[in-house]
Amino acid sequence: MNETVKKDLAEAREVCPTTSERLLREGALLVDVREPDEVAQVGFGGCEVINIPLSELEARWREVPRDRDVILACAIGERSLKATYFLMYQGYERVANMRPGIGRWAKRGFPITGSAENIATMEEVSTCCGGT
Amino acid sequence: MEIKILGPGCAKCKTTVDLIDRVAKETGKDVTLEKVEDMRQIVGYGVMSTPGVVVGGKVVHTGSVPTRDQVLSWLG
Repeated sequence: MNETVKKDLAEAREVCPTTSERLLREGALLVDVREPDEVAQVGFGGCEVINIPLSELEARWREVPRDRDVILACAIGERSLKATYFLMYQGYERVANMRPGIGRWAKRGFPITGSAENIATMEEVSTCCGGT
Repeated sequence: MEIKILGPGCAKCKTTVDLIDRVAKETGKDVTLEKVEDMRQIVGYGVMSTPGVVVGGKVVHTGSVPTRDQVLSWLG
């Protein structure tokens, strides 16, 4: 096993879907860390997005650019938080976690791919940006 | 000897803690076990797959319950 350095990571920056949508319009890249079957059901639309499932992130994190703002996202913001911390561990500075995730993104009326019906399983309690 | 077990509290993590504790007692080694369950701290070791095991500050294992032989080798 490789020699591993322990790092005291700062608290991750977290942004709500509404702020995320603005940052994406301004040039940020969205990294969706959900698994391919989830992305096939419903995905983020209207922005530049790449899919790197959390299960593949250790092998593929170098695909994430360092020289632009990056927002990590998933269904509710837990897996993407882990991904955000992992990229911070790898020295990324321009990363933020979207919380909660695609369910709220769709509720806000932001573009999606696939079917909105699949969002029904991702209902969450609203606490973001003043609630629903 | 200080051993940290990295994991969010899942069954495999608990099994790993129990295994190391049992082997340490069987061999009479003086081992201090510490569970690290906070995600930020776990990833702070570069670990994505849990359970992870840290011995003497080094990550020696990730992603599964270790074998008894592995634990024995860590305890020296």
